[in-house]
Parts: sequence; structure tokens; C-alpha cells
Amino acid sequence: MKQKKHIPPRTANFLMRILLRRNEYLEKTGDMEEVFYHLLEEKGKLNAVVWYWVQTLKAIPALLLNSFLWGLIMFKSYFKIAYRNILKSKIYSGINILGFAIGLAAFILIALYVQYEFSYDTYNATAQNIYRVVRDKPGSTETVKTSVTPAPLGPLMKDEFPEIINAGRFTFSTNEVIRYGDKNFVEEKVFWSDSDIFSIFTFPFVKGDYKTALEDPHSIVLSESTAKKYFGNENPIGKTINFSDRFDCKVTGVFFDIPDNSHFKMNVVLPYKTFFQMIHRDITAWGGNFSYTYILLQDNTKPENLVAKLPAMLDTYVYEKYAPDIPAQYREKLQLQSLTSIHLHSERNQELELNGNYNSVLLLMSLAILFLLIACINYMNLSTAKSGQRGKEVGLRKVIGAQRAQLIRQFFGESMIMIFVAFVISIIIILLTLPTFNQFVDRSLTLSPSENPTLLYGLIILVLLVGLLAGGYPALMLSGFSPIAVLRGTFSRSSKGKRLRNVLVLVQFSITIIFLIFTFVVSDQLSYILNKNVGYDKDQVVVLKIQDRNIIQNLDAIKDELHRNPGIIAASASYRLPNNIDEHQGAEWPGKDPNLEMMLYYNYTDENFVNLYDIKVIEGRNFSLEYPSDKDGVFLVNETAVKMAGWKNPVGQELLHYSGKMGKIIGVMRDFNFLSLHRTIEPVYLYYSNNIFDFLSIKISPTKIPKTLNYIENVIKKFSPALPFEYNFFDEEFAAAYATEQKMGALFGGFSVLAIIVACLGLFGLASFAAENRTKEIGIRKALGASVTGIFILLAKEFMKWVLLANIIAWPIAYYFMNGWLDDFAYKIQLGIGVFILSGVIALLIALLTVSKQALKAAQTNPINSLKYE
Amino acid sequence: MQPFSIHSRLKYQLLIKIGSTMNLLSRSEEIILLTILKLGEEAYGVQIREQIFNDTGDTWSFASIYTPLDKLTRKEFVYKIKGAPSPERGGKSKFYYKVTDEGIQALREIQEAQKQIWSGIPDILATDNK
Repeated sequence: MKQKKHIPPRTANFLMRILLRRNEYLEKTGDMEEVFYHLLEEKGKLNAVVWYWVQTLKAIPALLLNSFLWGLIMFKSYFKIAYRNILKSKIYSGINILGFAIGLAAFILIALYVQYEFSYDTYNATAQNIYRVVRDKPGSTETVKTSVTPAPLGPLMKDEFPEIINAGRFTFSTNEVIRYGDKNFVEEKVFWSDSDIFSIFTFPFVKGDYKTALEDPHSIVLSESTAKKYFGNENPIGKTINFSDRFDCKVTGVFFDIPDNSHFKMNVVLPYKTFFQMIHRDITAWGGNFSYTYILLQDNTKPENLVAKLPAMLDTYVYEKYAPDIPAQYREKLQLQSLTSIHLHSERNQELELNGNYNSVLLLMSLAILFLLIACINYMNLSTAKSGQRGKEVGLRKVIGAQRAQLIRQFFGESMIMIFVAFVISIIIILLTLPTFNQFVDRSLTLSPSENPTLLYGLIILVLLVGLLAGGYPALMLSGFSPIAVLRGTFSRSSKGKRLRNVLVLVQFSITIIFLIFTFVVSDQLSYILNKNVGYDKDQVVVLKIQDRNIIQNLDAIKDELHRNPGIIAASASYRLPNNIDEHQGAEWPGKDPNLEMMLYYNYTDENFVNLYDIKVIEGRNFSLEYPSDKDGVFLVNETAVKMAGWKNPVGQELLHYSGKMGKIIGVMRDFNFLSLHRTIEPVYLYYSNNIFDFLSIKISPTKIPKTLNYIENVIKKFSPALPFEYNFFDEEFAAAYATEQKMGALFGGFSVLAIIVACLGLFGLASFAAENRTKEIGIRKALGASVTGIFILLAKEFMKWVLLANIIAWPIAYYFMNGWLDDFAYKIQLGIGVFILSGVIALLIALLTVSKQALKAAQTNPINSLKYE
Repeated sequence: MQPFSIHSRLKYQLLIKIGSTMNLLSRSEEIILLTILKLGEEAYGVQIREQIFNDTGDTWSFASIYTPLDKLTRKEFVYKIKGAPSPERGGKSKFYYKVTDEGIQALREIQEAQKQIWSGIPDILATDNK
């Protein structure tokens, strides 16, 4: 009677099908369809389709509510069943939840850190338009990349290019003393800045006007917390403070503390121009690179277009005016760095602070994901391992009429509940460990959602995703059981999941072994470095940083007084300590081969330095007060310098000092490692000086150390009463230079422990599953005369072979990475087979220990119990 | 009558708790119940909708019929009978509705309540109507 050419919109019907159970769907769409065909005949297709859609859409809100309420009811039921199941097998559930919680906690902690690393400088309102101007200096062998630029660069660029809205620069000086009344404060870093910096960056002022605050040459601007430190609750504006005994200045502004996730943090800011007055330099001179230049570009300006115009600008304004002879390939090039990329991507000389490393952040993130995966795998493993128990439940439910979709929903619900509990536990773990973790990574991470709004959504999505991932496999697998097979008892206890489970054990233990190897190699290398003979003596030396000029002026008196104490063996002042002589110059001497390029590291010391640190002088002599001519400037060089320069008779050889003064070499030192052990020994000289000093080293005898320290403090206080007495032991300072490596060692150690815990939890679950599954087999074996040992071996063997196989996978991977890591050191341990075997054995022992309890239990059961079933 | 599953009963209890604090029928429920009674054997979705249009002149969307119908089913004031599949509905069955004794009782109650409510007002209405 009707031609069924036109049918109601399928999509609309599909929507209804999702929201309705079958019977209701048939009724409701049936009714609507009836009217639809009437309309089709009377008013045409369009009308009918539109009507159908309108009816469907109007029905949806009510249907949604309906299905939500259904869900709620079901949830209650699922919840009850899940709760009972969890209680029924406490150990399984405990293992499952704990393993998951640990994995989640590790993941969230690292994710917090990664998020923080990526958040650097993004709080600036115009962050995407702010760029730092940096400099590449091409040399004959390598290009030196620095982050500092000449002073006049910023203003010139702003004048020259209309696309630059604003340009600002600052520089900093270190260890300045601020005096207010009778209180002294040592500021590690003091900034000298244009006021433009405050309009480029989002550093809002609490008090004062950022545009005019730095106009007066003797004005000073403070951060809120610094102002509080100096003046307590008094109003800081208008207060006069003394700056490093040089001049008095007036506080003209206070700005909000700069967030910790900035690549530089200013606390004390003085006018840029004042710095130039102080050091008697011309602010418009191009010589001298110590300023950091930042520019704010207009929207939609391509930085690469601007960079392309910069060489021409430098040529016109600098090179053609002042140095036309420099060939084009040696002229410096300017680059722009996007502000938000500086923290993770910039690796230049003279960075403002220790930057992060993009690769290690990525590495950490991938490790975190790996951990989450292991936790998920474990969950899946343990859930499916229980399938024997749940099989009957599934069968019965199906017989009564449960649909597969309902079972899937049920198992999903259970997973979500377990994961939610795990999530709550992981949050507790994080809250407990966050302070330590913060200290470890040297950041201020927080879990508070008010400070980190994306976090909350992220966590919710994470839990849902992880639930989906970890709950999906067991839900699909368990719900797929055939009721007939399960209930009749012919159900083979899931041999199909077996291969997967074995692969999971393999992966988990490979990861564990890799981390173990990493941990051992890093700690071996560290102890090698810290105990290596570096060519000087680093024990029982107290190191003081010289902050007060008064100390340098009275150095001889201080040394005399120190030497008077029998607990003090020697005292020496130097510019750098022997483990970190980090500045160098090009070497020049009369008759030098012009083709020879040679860098000379330098240090300024007094006559006690070489003896105090027990550096051997193998030719010539040490600096001495007995030779008054030493005061004119003489050198001690090391063997490497002699070798590289090719001096036949080094003693007496003339050498050009950095200042342009010629001096004589009076002695040759045996080589010592004056740089980090990442590097080989380079040419170095010590220059005799009596005032260019930053450190005072004091060698003390090992007895009565507290008393000696007390004495030292009294002496120093006498000459520098205002400043706090701070000291370090040299060996500690030496070790601190390898803080990165130490942290890495600790990190890998932590990861190993985590990996072991999680892998063992998984293995424990699997072992009990295996033992349970084979009760009958074991019973028969025992009835036929198998021994407890034999059965133990039978059960343990099944897992042990996978752990052994894990070694084969783990070793090459670990070797590859650790070899790469060790390559960064000039002095390194030999990567022997020992650590590999050790790690493998540890993993094997731990696995055996985990499995043994279950295996023993199974092996000792009475065969009667497992075999009789009537 | 179709047996109810345990879950359905749970759901009804909950929905009744959430859905209606009053025990009285709502206006739309009342209209639908009366229409079903009036239609007798032929009371299914399309017919109910048409009858309401004939009686009140309003076009109700299917959603506004189903929502009270579902509620009535839940309260066990009506029950459904699955009919034979018919070709004009794309091979889908009609579902006929019958009013239960509880439904009749509920109608009585609302009638009684209405009488009570209206009892004090006829004068005003009479003047208004003129």
C-alpha cells in the first residue's frame, strides 16, 4: 500500500535507540513513524522529516534524565557488588589499589613538574610578543653563543624598527650589601634596569609608578617580600637605604614578587644608568657585553623577518663605524629568543639562572607515562587473573538475562570505583611527598586547584582515561564468557590471556632491570668522581666567600691572626677555588706561533694557595714573599700548558697577562682537575695577586674542629662585623658541583624502587592466580608422588623464565643509555658486565621471593582437598 | 501484565521519591488518563495524541505525552500491552495502554480534590463568565 521509499531520519532513530531500551524504542518510534507516514502523504517529505526531528529533539531532555536516573540505580547495584567483591578478596584488591595508587602518584607528581616547566614566563600578558635579543660570536673553530648584549643595542633597535613597541635592558651585580639603620642585608643579585622592563614584562607595582620610579639616579625599587624583609611593616616608600657603602638611595616603588616560574627573578632594582656611572663607563659605548636586552614586538610580527634585518643594522651602526676590518664571517650575529622558550630551550653562556632542560623534561614525562602504563597493565593483569572466580558470576548473570552491555558497564563501574579509591590514596601520597619532591627538583609545585586551575580538569580526565584504559580490557574479556562453558565447568581457565600476561611480566621486569642498572651505574660513577684523585687535597678545608672589601684590605692581618691558632694549618685567598677555575683568555707570549690557538684558564692566588691544596710544583718554585719581584706579576702554569705551548724551558718564559702586562713564569705545577670532571685538563695559570680575591680557604687540623671554626668566626667578625659568618667545607662544595648527577642517581633509585614495588605487586597477583588455577593439577602430581620442591620449582619456573628473558631485553637498552650518559664525562668508570648481572640477579631474587609464598602454599596443600569434589 | 524486574521496582520507588512530592495527579497525567479511558481498546500513542488535540485544540509533542505516560506506568496507574507489528509503523508494534484500578482510584481522588478546591469559588466564576 505504501512505497517505502521515504523512511524517517536514521540519525534521529539512532539517537532514540541509544537513549531507550528496546521495547520503549519500538513503541515511541513506532508512534512517531505512524504520524510521519501520514505527514509524508499529506504535506511532503520535507515537512515530515522536519516534524520527526522536532519531535525527537523535544523528547531528548526527558529521555536523558530518564537514562541518567537508570544509571544511578544501576550504579547503586554495581557499587554494592563491587564493594562486596573488593572485600571478598582483600589481598588482591589491596595490591591492585595500592599498585595503582603508587603509579598514579608518580605520574601526577612528574606531570606537575612538567607542567611547571612549561609554564615558565607564560604569566606575562604579552608573553608571545616578548623576545630576548642574544648574540652569536663566530670563531674560527666554534660559535660562542651568549645571552648578553652591548648596552646601546636596545634603544637602537627600538629607534630603527617600527615593529618593536618597546625595548628594555638590565644587568646585574652580585653580593651587594644593603644597609638600613643598623641592619645589613647581603643581596646575592641586584638588578640595574631600564624602567621599560617594567612595561614589557607584567611586573605590576604595589606602590609607586613604574614609569617614573627609576628616573632619579639614586632611586631603588624593591619587591614586596624584600621590602618586608628590610622595613617590616613600615611603609617602604621614601625610606633611605645605603647601597654597598657607595651611595644612599631612596625607595621609590614596590612591585609584586615575581613568580617563581620566571627565568629571572628581580628583588632589588636600581636605575640602569647608575650602574654605568658606578663603573665609569659610557652607556652608549658598544664595547662590553653584560646587558640583557628584551623587546616587545607588535602583534603579527614575524621574529625571523626582524632577525634578517639585524646584520645590516649592526654593519651600519657598529662595524663600519668602529671596526670595518673585521671580515663578514667573524661579525657577531643577533638572534631573537621567544620569552616562553628561554627556560627550556636556551643553553647559552651567562644565562640569568640555571635553566631547565627540554630533553630531560621529555624523558621524565615519558618515564611517568611508562609508570602509568605499568600500573594499568598490573590492574588489567590482576583483574583478568581473577576471571576464574568471576566467571561463574558472569555465567549466572547471563543466564538470568543480563546483556553483555550491562556486564561491561558493571565491570567498568567496578574498575572506576577501584581507580577512584586508588586516586584518593595517590593524592594523599602526593600531599605527603610534595614538600620533599619540591626540595628535590628545586621548584614550588602545588596541588592547590586555586593556583593551578587546569590541574583539576586534568586529574578528572586522567582518572576517566585511566579507568577506560585499565578497566576496558577486563570488562570486555570477562563479559565475553560463554555461560554454558562456565556453568558446565568445562570452562578452560582463560588460557587466552596467558600469553598477554606473560608479556606483561616481561615488560615490567625489563623496566625494573633497566632502572636498577641505571641506578648502579650512576652511583658507581658518582663515587668514582667524588673519590678520584684530582691532583689536589680537598679534605679539611673551610671555604669562606669574601663579601666585605674590608677583608681584602686587611688580608695579611687576618691571615696572621688565623695562623696563630694551632688548629689552623694554613690560610689562602684566591679568585677561584681549585675545582672551578672557569674563566679563560687567549694565550699570548713573545715568539708565539701565530697559527697556534690556545686558551688559558686563569686564577689569582696568594703564595699559600699551592701549598694549602697540596698542588705539586715540579719545576721552578712557588710564589714567595722572599722574592719581592713576585709582586710585579708572575705566573705558575700547569704541565698541559707547557706541553701545548711547546716551551722547552718554561721557567723564565714570558707570558702576557689578561691586563696587557707581561710577566714571567716562575714554576710549573703538576696537572690537577680544575674543572668539572666532565672535562679533561686544560692549560691553566695562577697569577700572583694580593687583592683580586673571592674566596678565603682555610686548612684546619682534623681535631677540635668546632673550636677552630669558632675561632675563625671571631677573627672574621672582627674585620667584617656587619655580615653574617657563612662557610662551607671544600669537599662539600666539590660534591655540590655534581648535584645534577646526584639528583639523577636519587631519581633513578626512586624509580627502581617504584618499578620493583609495582612489578612485584603484579607478579604476586599472577602467582596466586597460577597456583589457584592449577590446584587440581598439583593435587594429581602430588598423588602421583611429586615432592614439594618439585612442585615449587614447577610453579616458580613459569615466571622465572620471563624474568630471565627480561634481562636480555633490558641489558642492551640500559647499556646504550648509560654509555651515552658516561660519554659526557672525561673521567668515567668502565661499564662492566658486573652491574648488569647484579641487577638481573636482584630482579630475579625479588621475583622469586614474591612468587615463593604462593608457590609454597600451593605445593604444600593436601591433594585430598584439591581432588575430591563430591 | 508484564512482570517487573527488581531493578524496575527500585527505579520506580526512587523516581516517585524524586519526581512527585504530591500524591495527586498532575494536569497532564489527568488528561492522559482520562483520554485512555475514553479511547478504550484503541489507546496507543498516536491515538492518545489525536484525541487530546480533538478535545483541547492543543498539539502536544510526543515527548509531552510520553513523559506523563512513563510516569503513570511507573506509578502503575496504567499498563502496556504489546500489539502486533503493523506495516504503517515500519513493522513496529503498537503499545496499547490500559488504566489500572489504582489509576481509577487516583482519578477519583483528583476529582474529589477538585470538587473541594472549587467549592468556595463558583460565584466569582459565574460573574466572570457573564
